[in-house]
Amino acid sequence: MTELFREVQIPFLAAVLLAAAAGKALPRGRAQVPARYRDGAVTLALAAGEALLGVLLLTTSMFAVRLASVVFFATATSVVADLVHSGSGQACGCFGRFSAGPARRLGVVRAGVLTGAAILAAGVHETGAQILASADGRSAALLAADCLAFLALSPEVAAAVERRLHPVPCELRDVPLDATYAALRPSAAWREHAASLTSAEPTDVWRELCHRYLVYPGEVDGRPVEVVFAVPVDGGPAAVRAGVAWSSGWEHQDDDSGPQRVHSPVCGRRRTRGPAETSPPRRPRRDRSAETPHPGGATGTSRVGGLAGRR
Amino acid sequence: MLPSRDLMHRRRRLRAVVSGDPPRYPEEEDLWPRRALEGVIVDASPHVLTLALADGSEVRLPMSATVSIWYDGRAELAALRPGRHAVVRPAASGGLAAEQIWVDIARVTGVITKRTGDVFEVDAGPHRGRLTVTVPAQAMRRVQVRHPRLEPGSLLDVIGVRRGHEILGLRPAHTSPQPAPHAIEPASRREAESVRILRGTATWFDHPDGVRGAAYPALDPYGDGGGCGTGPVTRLPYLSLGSEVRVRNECTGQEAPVPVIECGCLAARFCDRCVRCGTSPRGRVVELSRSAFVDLGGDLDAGCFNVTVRVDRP
Repeated sequence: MTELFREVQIPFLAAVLLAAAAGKALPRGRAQVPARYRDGAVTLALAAGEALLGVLLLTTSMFAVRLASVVFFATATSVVADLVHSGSGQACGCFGRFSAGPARRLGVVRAGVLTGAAILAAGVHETGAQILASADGRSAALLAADCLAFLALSPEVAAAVERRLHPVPCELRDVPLDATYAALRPSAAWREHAASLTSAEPTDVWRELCHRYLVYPGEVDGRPVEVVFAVPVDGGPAAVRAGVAWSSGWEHQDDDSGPQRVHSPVCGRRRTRGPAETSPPRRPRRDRSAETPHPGGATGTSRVGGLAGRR
Repeated sequence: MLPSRDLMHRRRRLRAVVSGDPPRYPEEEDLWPRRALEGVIVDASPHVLTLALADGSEVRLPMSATVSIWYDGRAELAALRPGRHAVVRPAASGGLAAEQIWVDIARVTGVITKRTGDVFEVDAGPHRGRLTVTVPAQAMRRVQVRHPRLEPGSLLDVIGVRRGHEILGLRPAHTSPQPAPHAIEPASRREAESVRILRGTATWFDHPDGVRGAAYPALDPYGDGGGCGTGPVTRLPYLSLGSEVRVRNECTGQEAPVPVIECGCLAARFCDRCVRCGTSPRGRVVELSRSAFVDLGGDLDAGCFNVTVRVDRP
């Protein structure tokens, strides 16, 4: 039984190494290694090394490979312990983007247990592939027990459960611009205003709590306008809203009406119009506040009436 | 980038276009509790102080009977020499009578990058650049009480006086030691209100004369949010330049809306607590410009006050 337990450590460690390599090689995983190693080439080299070691554990029984796995896991234990001890809050990046949280003591314990498993397996004569080929029910049960123990000792799993139970409020969520564009471009609000935009690049992008605002220059009836999109950081394309204001640089305005919101999308329980029902963009009215940005000039938007989808 | 005031109005207007709510301009409603004044001393007598303000105008301030003057500690009228910079808090009873005057007060907050004897070069963040501060021998022990490791890489926050182009750091700017990172308790996720209501410490920072505003640690690092990209140590709701926070001094009860004019890139790295009136529940959640800090009842020489910051109506 003891011999069998030692044998199953070989495919188990190989699987862990291959999973770690895959996690690091994912595009978004490359930034999650500790800051001192925050170089894409270094991360990829580390991932390649892990993958190579995992494959060698499966295909050869050379003692040098087993020794290399012991050294590798012992080094990993030292690095994670160092991160925890420094209290810097850095992620260990052991499994790329899946290890995005600060290094924890549980991670040190896991790395230590893996080091112990590598030491146990150092004297096994079969290759990982041979062990898997001759595996019976007992081997499968031991392998499953190994995996369960590994998951129980994984801070990534604990963090995922925590995220599931208590999701991070949208105000605190770090959302890159790519995610905002991914929500904006397929939205009905974008399709509705895309034809009136004169540039594909926004002139202003800022975030306030749960919304990111993007301002694009546009033109309606030959007049310059600013099209504003409000993209929720935790929502999909359906929640994107848009509005149009006269460009503040427009000096030849001949009417005195206020800014007009021309897209009032899907929001809460209010009834929303589908694309077929959406009326064509109305002519934006003049925005007085664009010229006089003080309370007296801010009354334009108060005239917006009869529009669904208020925040 | 537009000037911060124009930027703030522009963003409020554009945001209102989407939301349908009329934009608010609370700073125009003169809700500030008191109006601090900053300027260079032109003349001073026992009864009147004349200041040249940043806009070129001059203002004559009567001295209240109980005026208190700070210049490297409590000072006499002789400290009000022409050419020195002064921050004046008017009396609470109204009018312009000076109640408290800080002369040539300066603050250096940042990470020590170089030390040569008692001269420290400090990286004050991407917006404020590098500063040089001299800690005199007689002040060194006092500073080391709060900053025992005065070596490159360590945080430094000292209040002192400006003499010409030199800044003398005379005392540590905070009154509780920097706790270990594991002592920082993150905000409870179960409390719905706690995400947008921040209870912690407000400090002040040197900013060109008369500007009222806040440096907020968690500005969006993407787009034109104005963030430093360094990320706050403790998690705070994301805002941008031109957003507005409502700041309440828990020690005096004074409250005012303050526009965000800068990223407080280094504020969140300080985990110290303010102990002006009880111990603040968490570290620095906002830095205020000198005028905003004084307007809200803060004493510049004390360096901090306990604060509640609401970010729910940016």
